[in-house]
Amino acid sequence: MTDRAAIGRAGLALLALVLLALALWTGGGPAAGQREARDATRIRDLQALADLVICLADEDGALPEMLRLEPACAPAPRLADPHTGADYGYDRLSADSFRLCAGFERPDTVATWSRPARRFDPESGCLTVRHPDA
Amino acid sequence: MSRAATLHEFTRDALAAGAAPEAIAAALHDAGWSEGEIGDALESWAVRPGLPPVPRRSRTALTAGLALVEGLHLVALGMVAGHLIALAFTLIAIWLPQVSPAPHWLAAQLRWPIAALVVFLPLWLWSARKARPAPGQRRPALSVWIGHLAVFCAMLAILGDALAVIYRFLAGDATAVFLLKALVVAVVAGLVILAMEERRRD
Repeated sequence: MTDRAAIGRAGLALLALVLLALALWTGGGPAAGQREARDATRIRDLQALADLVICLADEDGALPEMLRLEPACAPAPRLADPHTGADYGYDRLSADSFRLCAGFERPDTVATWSRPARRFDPESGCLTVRHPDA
Repeated sequence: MSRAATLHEFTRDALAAGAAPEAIAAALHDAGWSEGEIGDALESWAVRPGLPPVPRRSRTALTAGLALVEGLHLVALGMVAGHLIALAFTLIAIWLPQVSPAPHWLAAQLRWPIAALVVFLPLWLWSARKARPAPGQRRPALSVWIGHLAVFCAMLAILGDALAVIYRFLAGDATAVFLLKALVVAVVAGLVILAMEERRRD
């Protein structure tokens, strides 16, 4: 009986160790989590910048030529990536749409929540936004 | 006097009168006592020449410390088994996705079971070792109960597993992924039953 119990304990422990190794290999360790956290900061910044651009468009009557901070559009978002210092990209695509880009480390894992008129493209790392009222 | 006390008193008196253990066992068996009860009664007394039957400390005393270890053992076993299954399910969902590619957030779901296993697997192994009785002694009744409780839960899991497999088969939905998950549950539950075997038999 003792042998069977030892087999059960060893089997459970071995299975756990194998799955732990596979899970770490599949999901990555702390470095993967840090990459995801940095990307989460970037996508939050892009969403906040999109709100800023829409606010500026409402103030100016058209989409701005370039990003700028405006006291009327508070709170002021970050204009640059806090982890690399690189400026976030801004391009006007048309009279009512624009895109904001960042250097994502794992764009395929970026979690975007559903918001109307906003679409994140993992290929380019850009958030394309259409001004809802333009 | 309880039935157990009556049995133990009879056994002591018989041993003191010089009766052979085999003869006492046969008499008790004829009187309707079970093998376990007879064995328990005979093992309670050591026969030494020139001395009346010497009471044995047949079961390890249940101290507060041992109860603590047993409680931790049960909780740790539940955490290990549950998170092992959760981890395997998530890995299966990543490797064999129902829609390709698998959602990226599945990888993040691996972290909690990993953390749980890193904490509770060593605790479970340590508590199993710590709760082991000294040579020649048997586990306290609480340990045996815990063994039976764990096996009860594992058997319920296996029964539920079998039920789900048959249901999905009849529904024409017994996919390879589902069967693999059912196999994981059965294997983990089976290993739990094996691991608790010595407690149940003690």
